Amino acid sequence: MTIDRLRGRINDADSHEMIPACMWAEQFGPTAAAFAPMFEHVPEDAPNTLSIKMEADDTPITEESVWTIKSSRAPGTVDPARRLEVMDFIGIDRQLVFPSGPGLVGAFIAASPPDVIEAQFGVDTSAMDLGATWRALLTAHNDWAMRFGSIDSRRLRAVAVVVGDTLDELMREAERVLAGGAGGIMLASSVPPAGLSPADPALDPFWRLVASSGAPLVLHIGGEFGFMRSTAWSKADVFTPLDAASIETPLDPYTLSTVHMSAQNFLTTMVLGGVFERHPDLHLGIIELGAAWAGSTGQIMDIWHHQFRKRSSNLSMKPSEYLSRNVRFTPFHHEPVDVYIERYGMPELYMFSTDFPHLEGGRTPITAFASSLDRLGDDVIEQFFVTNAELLLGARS
Amino acid sequence: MNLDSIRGRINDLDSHEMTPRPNWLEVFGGTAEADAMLTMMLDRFPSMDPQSVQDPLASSVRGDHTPVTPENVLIRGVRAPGSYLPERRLQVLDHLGIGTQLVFPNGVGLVAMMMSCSSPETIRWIMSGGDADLSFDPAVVAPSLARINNDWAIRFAAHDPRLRPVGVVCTNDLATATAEARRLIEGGIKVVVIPSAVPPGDLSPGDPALDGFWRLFADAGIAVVLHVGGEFDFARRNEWIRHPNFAFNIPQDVQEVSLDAYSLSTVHLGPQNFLSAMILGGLFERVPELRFGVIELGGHWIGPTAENLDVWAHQFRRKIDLPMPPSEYVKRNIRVTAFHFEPVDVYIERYGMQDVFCFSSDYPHLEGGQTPIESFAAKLERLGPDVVEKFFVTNAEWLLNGTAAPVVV
Repeated sequence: MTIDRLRGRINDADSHEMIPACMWAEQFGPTAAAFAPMFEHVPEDAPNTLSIKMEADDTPITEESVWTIKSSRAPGTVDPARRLEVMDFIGIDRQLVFPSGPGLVGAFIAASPPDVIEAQFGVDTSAMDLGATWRALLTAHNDWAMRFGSIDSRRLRAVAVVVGDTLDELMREAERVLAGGAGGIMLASSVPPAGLSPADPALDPFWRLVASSGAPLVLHIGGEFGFMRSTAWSKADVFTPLDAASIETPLDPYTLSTVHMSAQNFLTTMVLGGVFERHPDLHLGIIELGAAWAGSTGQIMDIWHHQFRKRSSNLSMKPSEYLSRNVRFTPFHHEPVDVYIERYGMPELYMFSTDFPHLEGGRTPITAFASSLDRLGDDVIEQFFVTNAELLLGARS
Repeated sequence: MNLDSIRGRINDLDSHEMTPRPNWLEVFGGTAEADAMLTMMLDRFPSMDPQSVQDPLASSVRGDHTPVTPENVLIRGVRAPGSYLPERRLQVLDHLGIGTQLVFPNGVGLVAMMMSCSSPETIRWIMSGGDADLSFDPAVVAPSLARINNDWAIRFAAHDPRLRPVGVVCTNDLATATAEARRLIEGGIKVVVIPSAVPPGDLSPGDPALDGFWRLFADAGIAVVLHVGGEFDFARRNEWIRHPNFAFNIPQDVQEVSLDAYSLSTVHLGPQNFLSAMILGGLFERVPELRFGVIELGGHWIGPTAENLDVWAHQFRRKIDLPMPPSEYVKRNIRVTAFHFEPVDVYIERYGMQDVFCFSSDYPHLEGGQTPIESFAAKLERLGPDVVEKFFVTNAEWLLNGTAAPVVV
């Protein structure tokens, strides 16, 4: 199979800013800058590191630099014009751009209990106003996202992170960032929005706001912290994470095997609670959380919805049909997405992503996915690399 | 399908005692300490009512004397024959063609499980709808209730080797859990259940520091199982369930799980997490004789979970040194029950788990259905008699560690 015909048309549902910590003061402001020193101990050759001492985004754009540098040193990590050049080089048309820095730190603090925050960042939370801190970090990230996307709002879709204790707070920040051109709204999947079940009709104004904007709602890895009550599960020597600077997720086999649970829980409340029935134009992306669970989750929701059909009569379709219509997933490059499609059908669920410039994205994701999908034919390849992501990327011009 | 070939040899990995509330003191009591604890629970939680609307006629039930007839074994709830008397449960097994049966708690033991993993807010919500007096320490009460259940289980087990009552081990405190496990083993209990939402002794389940605890069971040939009812507060927040479609929308024997589509679609997350930590932590490599079961938590997730663990174990192969893929430990060490309406035949075809899935009736609970043997057999028939034999008989023997002699019906 030739992938030349995809060149220039590929949609990438996951990439990241990777502004080095030394530039946080100028790019994100003083609250973010206060967290920058936590990366100083990380070696510059560690994967996903933000500890690079650099003054400009000036690494030449080459095959090697684009795919093998997995840190702030990669080209296009800071400068949106250079990100567009990187996209042209790879053959990508449109791209979601997620945080690596203050946006993730803010989501982490918003979602985690104080002891976990102290363990992660080495700070004394008793002296901090945690609510003010995560709000300042997320505001800084969201301001950056609006600036970054403004250079080409069709191709660069920088995603804002929205967390709020009340519906009013959610609405105000979502209205602000959508008006400012944010390419999507990311929620922390471990946090009930405004303290409510995502299924609760009281959240309908928020879902309606996002749906009517045409921007996607997204759950991305990094929003799961604090989902489980205990943090003991990962505390074993064999689960010691790789020495990576990104706080997106600990890179260890246990965490990555279970990281989808928070999103699975969130998605289940939305589907079975009738959110997509009430908001058929709401589009949800589940990004960098794997896809091994997508098809089987649709099927088990179908089974239980059928068992409770007399009590859940507010759904006009099977739960899996809402997945087909409203939800998209990005598998990791090493997942057998061809097997998932064969087993569960629903080829429309899966989207291509580079995770540029993070380590987990791999070095040859286009060829890895294409060779996995080749046996399923050109239509499936077109869906995977181009069409399916248009649910999340297609509405904004 | 003709079931004659398996009749009398079926192994049933899930059933329950379902003692009517008025009989709790006589069945579970007998010591001053137990009587006082039971009286306190019955007084504090008047709505903790195993009878409930699973069976509208049940509120007046005392005792276990419904005749064992073809019609009556279809009754679900405390009015079912053999709800708690062992000699009558054996008659029910004979009638259904079941050889050996695990008998989980419904009342006292299930409350112990729930309290071991729940916050006071959750306990109030489950036990009373939110306004109960919780002027006691659940961390103290949970192991006490477990001991009361376990005293009953030891007595129940003595009746006949075909009945395998399950002991409850609250794992919050490892020393207490170890002492209770030793007592259960010495008392002849063959299977113990632990809560999946609790990291045992606040340790990851695969932590080598727990190897001694797991080896206790492995060396004795005792199976450890996770059963629905031990998942409460696995997630830190409780808001997820607050929607009219969800929370406890079938009044029921309250402690096990909320019977709603959301809860039952996600109830496996705690056990899935527990197993992932055990397997990737290398526990089954270090303790290969450990017999582990996951009961009444659905069957849909075990295949995808095993494959997902294979993927990540391969990605981190230089870090976790396991000689087999995680899915092989699943097939060797773990047994799982599916709900009677799940397409277990499809699961076996997709994931190659024909040695993992086992039959269960959940008798006399509602979720078990009325004709689970026929329902499962109809699905599995197309996979051939070997798969049927494994599902109904052979696979469960790993957990039962030898079964009673076949019953001639």
